[in-house]
Amino acid sequence: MRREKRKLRAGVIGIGIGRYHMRGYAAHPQCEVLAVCDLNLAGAKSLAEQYGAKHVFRDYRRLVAMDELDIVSVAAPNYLHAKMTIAALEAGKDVLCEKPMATKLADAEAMVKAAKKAKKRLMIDMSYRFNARQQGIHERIQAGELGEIYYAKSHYTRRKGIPFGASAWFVSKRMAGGGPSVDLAVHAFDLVWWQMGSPKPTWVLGSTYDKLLPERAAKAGVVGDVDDLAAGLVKFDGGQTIFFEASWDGHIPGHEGYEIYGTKGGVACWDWESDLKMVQYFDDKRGKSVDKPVTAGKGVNAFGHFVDACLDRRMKMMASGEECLHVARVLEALNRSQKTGKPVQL
Amino acid sequence: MASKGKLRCGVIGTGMGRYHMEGYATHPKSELVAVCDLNFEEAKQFADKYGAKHVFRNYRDLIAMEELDAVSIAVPNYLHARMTIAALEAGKDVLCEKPMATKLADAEAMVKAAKKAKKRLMINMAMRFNAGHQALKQQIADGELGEIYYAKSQWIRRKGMPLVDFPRTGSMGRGEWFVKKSQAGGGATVDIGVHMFDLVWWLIGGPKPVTVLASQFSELLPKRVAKVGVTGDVDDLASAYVKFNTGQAMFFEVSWDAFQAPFLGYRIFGTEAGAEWGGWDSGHTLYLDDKKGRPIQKALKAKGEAKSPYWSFVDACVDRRAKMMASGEECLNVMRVLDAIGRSQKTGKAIAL
Repeated sequence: MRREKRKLRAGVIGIGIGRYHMRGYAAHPQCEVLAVCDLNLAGAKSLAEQYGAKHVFRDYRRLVAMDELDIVSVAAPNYLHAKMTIAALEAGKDVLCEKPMATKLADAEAMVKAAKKAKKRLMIDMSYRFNARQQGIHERIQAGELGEIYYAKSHYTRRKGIPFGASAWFVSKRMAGGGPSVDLAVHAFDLVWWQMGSPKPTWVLGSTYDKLLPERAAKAGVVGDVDDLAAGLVKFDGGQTIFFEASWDGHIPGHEGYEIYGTKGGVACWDWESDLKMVQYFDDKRGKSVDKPVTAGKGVNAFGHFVDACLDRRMKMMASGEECLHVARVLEALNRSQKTGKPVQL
Repeated sequence: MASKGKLRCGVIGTGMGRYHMEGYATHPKSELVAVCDLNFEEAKQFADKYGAKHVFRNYRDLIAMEELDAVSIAVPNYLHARMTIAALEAGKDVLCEKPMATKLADAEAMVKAAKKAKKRLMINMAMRFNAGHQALKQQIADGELGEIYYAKSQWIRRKGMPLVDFPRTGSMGRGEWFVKKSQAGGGATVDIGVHMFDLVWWLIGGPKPVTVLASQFSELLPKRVAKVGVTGDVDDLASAYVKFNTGQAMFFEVSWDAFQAPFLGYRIFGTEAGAEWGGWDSGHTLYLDDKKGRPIQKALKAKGEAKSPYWSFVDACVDRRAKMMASGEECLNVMRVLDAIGRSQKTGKAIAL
């Protein structure tokens, strides 16, 4: 049996980002949303109705315990990722977990271990990879069109972009694990690292700062104890290097995008949150500089991709827990580099 | 000094040296008296142009002149230390081109020689001598930006490779030595990295560097210089993260060539305001909050033109008590960082200073 013919039944925990998981599952011909869970039961109910889910829960344990469920999405505050993911895996479900994987590296490692033990899928929603143009350039990099990739930079910085949000968990170290050093840096680093071909990190030197956030949080009436800016340089075993930075606030205009340096060509993208712009840089046959736009690839949607990977267990899945553990290790090393004031060898 | 009270200056090297000559010839308290270059004809032309009476092929002859107070060294990098030390030992004040030397030990020896001779040693960190940068420096020193915690400095060139993309007849990057490690000490790192690190490091108050993680690449250079018949072994791109004992950090990167859009500028993050410079044509912008906490920006206007490095050097030689910018001792910190970048690349490890 290569690919299952039946419909998979999905449960989604958390109605924040979780609503996009529901939409993705409902849109897949071989998947349906069967259960929704949130502490906000009214919100969960209304989304359940929208996507035709029969079951609504306040307690995630009841959702995870459902025999009829095949897959579970975990889209709760970061500190709950590990607990819920491991419980779902142990209950025999395939799991799609929101990024960042966990608030502690040890938790992320335990998640991967649990997936292996349960022989179930664990995917992390590295959503920025799931874009037709990002995938298009990924294919061309893999095909060698840019030559050897040796250097890349990734930026995800905001001015006045602290997510105080409805609840203040985003700015709580205990609940979020960190500020932009996890929330945005996870995207900034992962996207460009994946484009580079996921090399093995060897050294990290970085910094995190919280010069503006505590005071701004206090003014907003919440306690904030996470960083507001993070930056660092990562070296890899093939000699490649990535610089990345992420901020929620700073007295400098925000910038999102990356630049990838190859021996035969380069690529840059920006405005990836809104209207993604991408350009490739090459030489023509006479050695003259030319720029050309990036054409889209096939384009795989994260939720559809996860469903496909659950239907066909032999399919290579993007952003597996094991792969994303490298990202968690780099972010943890960056925070450790700040704490100790020293570079971190991985 | 001469009877007229003018500082008598000699310049070794007619490439960048031509700007030194112009500076000395135009400052009211200095004069150009000697020029030296292996290209004797060119040395003569410049000597005529700026009224210098003496022309030499051998730098030792220039340095041996008793009627000389100050010497500019503007020759290939590997000669900086040798000539600077010889000039200092001969009792001259010295203005040396950047980078100080090809080896850290040489730069240290230069500073030691200046101390021993009790003479001035200044390094031509030319980018500091700009009214906009100096106006920002003043704002930072006055606390207008609050505490500076993070900064970025970048000079990415696309097709900006010496010997290949620039004419070889001008003032800069004319000789093949420019792309040879033994003679230049490095490529983009020491040529423009020295500026981009120094400029922002100086702006944020010259904190003590403690850790460096960096990479240098030479992916495009060997093939491109081979096309013009030159063998090159220096870096064409460098990227570094530097942490300071103050907790501050700086990211900086430079390239002579890369498949990317070119960019020159820096961004400085302070607790009260941030500053941005987007290259020579765009000036400086300050970003801050208004009284209601809303983000605003304003252009930083600089008055007039900054005093040139050559005039600053003359002033520091005429008034020995004047505080001199870009002293050899100060610039040794920059050399330490450049050296650490090379070691980080060589060993693949982070370097503690």
